[in-house]
Amino acid sequence: MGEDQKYITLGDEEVFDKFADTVYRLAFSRVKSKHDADDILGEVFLRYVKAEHKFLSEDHIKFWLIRTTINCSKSFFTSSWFKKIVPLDDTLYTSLKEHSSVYYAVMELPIKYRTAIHLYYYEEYSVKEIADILEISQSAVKSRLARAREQLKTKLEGVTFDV
Amino acid sequence: MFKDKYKKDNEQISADQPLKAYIKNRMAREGQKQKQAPKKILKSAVALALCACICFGAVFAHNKLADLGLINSLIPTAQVEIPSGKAVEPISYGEVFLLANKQYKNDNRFFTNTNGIVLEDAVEDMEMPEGDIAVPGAPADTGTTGRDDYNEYANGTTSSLSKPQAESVSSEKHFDLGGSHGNTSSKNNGTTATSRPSAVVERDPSSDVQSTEQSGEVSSSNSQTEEPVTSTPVTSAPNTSSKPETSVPEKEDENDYSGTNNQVAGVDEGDIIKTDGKYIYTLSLKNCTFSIIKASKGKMDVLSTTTVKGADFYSGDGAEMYILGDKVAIVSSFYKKDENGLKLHYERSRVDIFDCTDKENPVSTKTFEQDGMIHSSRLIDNKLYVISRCDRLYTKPDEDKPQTYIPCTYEGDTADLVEEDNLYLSADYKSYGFVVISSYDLSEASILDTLAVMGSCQNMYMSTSSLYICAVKSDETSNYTLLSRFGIDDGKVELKSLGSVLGATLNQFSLDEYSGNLRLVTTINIHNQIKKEVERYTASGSVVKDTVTYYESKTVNALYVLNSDLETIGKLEGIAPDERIYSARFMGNTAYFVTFRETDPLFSVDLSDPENPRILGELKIPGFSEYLHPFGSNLLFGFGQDADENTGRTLGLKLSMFNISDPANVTEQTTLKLQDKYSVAEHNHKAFLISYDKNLIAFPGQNSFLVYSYSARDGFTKKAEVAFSNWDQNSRMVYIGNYLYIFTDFSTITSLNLSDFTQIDKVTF
Repeated sequence: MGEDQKYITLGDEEVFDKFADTVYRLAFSRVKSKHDADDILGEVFLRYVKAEHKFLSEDHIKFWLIRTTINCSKSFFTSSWFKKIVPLDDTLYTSLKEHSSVYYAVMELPIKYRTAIHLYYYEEYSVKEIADILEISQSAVKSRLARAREQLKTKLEGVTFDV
Repeated sequence: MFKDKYKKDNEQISADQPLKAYIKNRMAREGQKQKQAPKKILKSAVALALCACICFGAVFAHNKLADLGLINSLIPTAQVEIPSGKAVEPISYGEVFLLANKQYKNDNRFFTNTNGIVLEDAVEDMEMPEGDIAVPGAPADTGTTGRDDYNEYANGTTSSLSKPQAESVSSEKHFDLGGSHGNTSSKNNGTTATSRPSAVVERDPSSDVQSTEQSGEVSSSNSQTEEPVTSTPVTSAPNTSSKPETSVPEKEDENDYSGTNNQVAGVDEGDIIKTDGKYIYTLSLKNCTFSIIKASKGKMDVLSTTTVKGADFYSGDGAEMYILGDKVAIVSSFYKKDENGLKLHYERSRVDIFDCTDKENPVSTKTFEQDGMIHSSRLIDNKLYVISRCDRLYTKPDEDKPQTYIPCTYEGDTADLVEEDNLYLSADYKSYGFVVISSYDLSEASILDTLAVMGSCQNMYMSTSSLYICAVKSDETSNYTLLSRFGIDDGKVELKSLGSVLGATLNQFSLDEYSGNLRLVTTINIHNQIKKEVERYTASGSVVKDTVTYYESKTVNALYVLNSDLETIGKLEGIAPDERIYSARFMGNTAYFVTFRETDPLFSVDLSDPENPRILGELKIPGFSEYLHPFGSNLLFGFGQDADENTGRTLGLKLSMFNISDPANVTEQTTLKLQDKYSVAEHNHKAFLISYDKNLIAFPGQNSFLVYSYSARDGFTKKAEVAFSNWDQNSRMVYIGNYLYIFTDFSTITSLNLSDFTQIDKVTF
């Protein structure tokens, strides 16, 4: 990469305002707990400030943040703290104002399907981009999405919309 | 639609506002830290600086020189009150004992012995009788300096110790070492020299196990570096209009050889390789050996490899070598701990002198030892000066045994206490420790003089007539340097004067003596205490008001001119706020130094009127130089790091050539960015070989030794590259006549022809 490439300069606060919800929602969809998502949100943005990375575009920043969120939640799952505690499942229900069968159905999926669904339907990344983010092949993304849809279909039986 | 529904659900999920505010706050604080410390090196230095720097950031963001007045008002005016400029009186053993005893008790107050039991004597009476120590030469009225401890002593009267007692102590200066000190005798039994008839030799199988293991490592590391030379043929002759001819006469001139990259002409500095034009002497830090290699027209013959018995170059702070005629002197240090490896028995520096009249069988003539780890050493004519420092006491001071609190020099089984006339107290004696300065006559192999100063030592600089020692201290307003000047006269060392300036020096190149005046550049850390009200978020999410005290650290640079009494006669403060000095070079009446935050201003300062130094110019270029070396009369070579102009992040090594024909208008003539990211030469000037006459600029890079030449037309041209194994960057190059000898991996020398840079010979020993 040449040295003359243009890097964008965004204030840290601006970046936070723009992407805090993105990070938080992805973290929530992965850890399924408000308090853990809070921790991950702080951790991701502290890493962002400390890392002093250079970014080419806003999308580049978003990509980096998503990748870091996934890493942070991964290390959260392997932490000894996580292994020792019993999760409080009700946190999920209290955070949603409107009860929605769709969101709960997604939350009941295994984590790898959940993340793929979240990135595809909420963040609207293409299969190729998701493959880049998750560092898996495109066909793996496709099969994860297909299996997730299959499970969602059985869960959402009677609800009429195409998945 | 699933997608819309899922999106809608997701919109409801968001972090709480207080949490968001809290994270933003943390980010702002972290971001401030990052900005204050754009370089990795700086990070630790500003760990205290927190987010309350906003007002200062605004103040210092503008033109640096325009804000001089403001910045100067920030610099603390109260300088350290020390007996500056006065003749300094020595102190007695009794006075040292009182200080040592107090310090020992303080040090060991909470220390436990190896069994985990608190030492009984350590919790005894901690108080010291008042007014027992008279600080030599202290001004009678010290006023209120804010240094209560200092005044406590400074206002005290004369010593209450009875003189006869002190004299009885000094009358028995020779004593035999007992107990753990006794085993030094085994170290002085001479050396084993093994004759090496051929170039590549097998190690003597009868030598001890450790050596054979190490020799195995050597051969394996060499096998990795096969075919190391990628010689580049000279494609175009350098522009010879302003440069000397690269081609030198074929005839090898025995007087044409390189020495160590010394700072001051006439003051030799020790190194791991030396040459006298006929032989190359190398020191292996790994194997504790030195080798003599006969070098003739690029062909090499390893004559001998001699083990320095009892020395430990690796665990000590390395070793340095000097040659003087047929004499080889090796300065190193070692320490001894008890069998558990917990308690320090002693740490000493040693000087091994070898007679190398018979190059195949060097004979150990003498071994001297002195207390304290080696700090540095210098050779003037045939007098070797060794500066060591012992940082703390490792034995309980016993008034009847002065060797427990007075530093000694050792020769064989006997130890000599430093004489009372040669014991001094510097202003920072509170950190109990000694700086021991000994002078040795190399041609006679004898010790001439020893002097010890209570205090510490961070940097030293030596000219042909003076030795300067800098100790860095810090108080609640800023850091400051305590300077002591020692007169050097043919082996006789004498404390002449004490002084102080604000800030800390970087290395020996920060100081310079010119026509009797000392000039030095320092970086000042100003500490400002700032109280700020902050909002804290508790775990439950509620907001709590809190007052937090921050220490905001601000750096600013300064240049001082001091006379021989170490009184400040000229100064230039408030240079380049928020930056620190990366390198400095004094050349006659002009000083050049580099400060850095995001770009590199190279300052040139006119010192022709020592009382009124003034800034001539400042050149801003990306990156910074960590070493400056004059190249010819009009050029200045700079070696350092390239850096991003916006963030200050370093990008890799950079060579620069500055045109300094007009000091007021310095220009960067050529610059070359290297692939290598770091080099040992950034921190060790001895790794350079820079010769204007031979048009050579050579230094170790990251994985290989690099040889460059310079011409005004073509800039820097890479001439040769010799790879070395990655873990050892301590490589050197010397030249003799028309041949280059590159010493790598502690044990390999590759010789090149200077005219076409082809490899001639390679020996491993």
